[in-house]
Amino acid sequence: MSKHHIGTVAAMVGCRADTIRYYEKQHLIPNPQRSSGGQRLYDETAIDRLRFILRGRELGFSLNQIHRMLAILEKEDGSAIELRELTAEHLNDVRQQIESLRAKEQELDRLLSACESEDLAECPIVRALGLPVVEEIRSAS
Amino acid sequence: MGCFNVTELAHEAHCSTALIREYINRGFLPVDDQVSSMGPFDEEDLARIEFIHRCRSLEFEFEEIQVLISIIDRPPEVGLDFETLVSRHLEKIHDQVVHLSEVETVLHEMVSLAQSSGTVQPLLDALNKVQQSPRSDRRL
Repeated sequence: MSKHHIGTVAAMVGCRADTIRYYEKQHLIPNPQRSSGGQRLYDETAIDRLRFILRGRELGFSLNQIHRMLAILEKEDGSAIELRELTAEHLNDVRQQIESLRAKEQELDRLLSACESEDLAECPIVRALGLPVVEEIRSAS
Repeated sequence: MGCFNVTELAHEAHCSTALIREYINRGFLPVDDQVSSMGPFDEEDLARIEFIHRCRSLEFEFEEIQVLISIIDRPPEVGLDFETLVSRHLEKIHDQVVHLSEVETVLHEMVSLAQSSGTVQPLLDALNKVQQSPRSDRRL
């Protein structure tokens, strides 16, 4: 099986070499073999594992969740239900994040729509954020 | 006015003293050379911290808050700057919603397929399908 240096692997999977070292430090990937010069060498299995982790990150799984997923997959009695539940749990988190961001988006949109004046003291955004200088500006103008 | 030390200010603002110090280090609180980072602080400082917390609750990042504060500190030119920055922030939040909605679709599909097949394969297939995107390099 061919082995690749960290820079090559980073280019293959689309991440930085630092990221790979970080995952190694977090025990998400096993310590790689080393060349006679001490450089890290990765085989296809390690590269597949890295791709799995990166894809998990793209889907917003935390490193801790990815750790749990990998542990489930490595367990002899690891079940599909466990993995599905973990994914469903993350799906719920994502839905909550969307809901929270949408509420903030609406609030900001409402503030921007209401902002017609160039006078800072009259700006609804400034008022909504409770800007501490508003009263000073008003009294000065 | 000077009525709070750093511990009292943190208590009033419902945050840690470490966070107050971070705000000071970032230049969010106008601590002049005569005042140490221990205080004294006044109601204006408390109001500014509350402002920062409101911004954080609306997902503004520290760098954006820094710009907002710099706008506050030089009011005459402000109006449009402020609106532009908030508009940009709104666009960023919108992009996050779009991205998360795409993620939600994929996750929903993964869970549904795994449920109907009773195997981990659909989950593994989805997780092994690498998409090259700028986000693939996010480490944390």
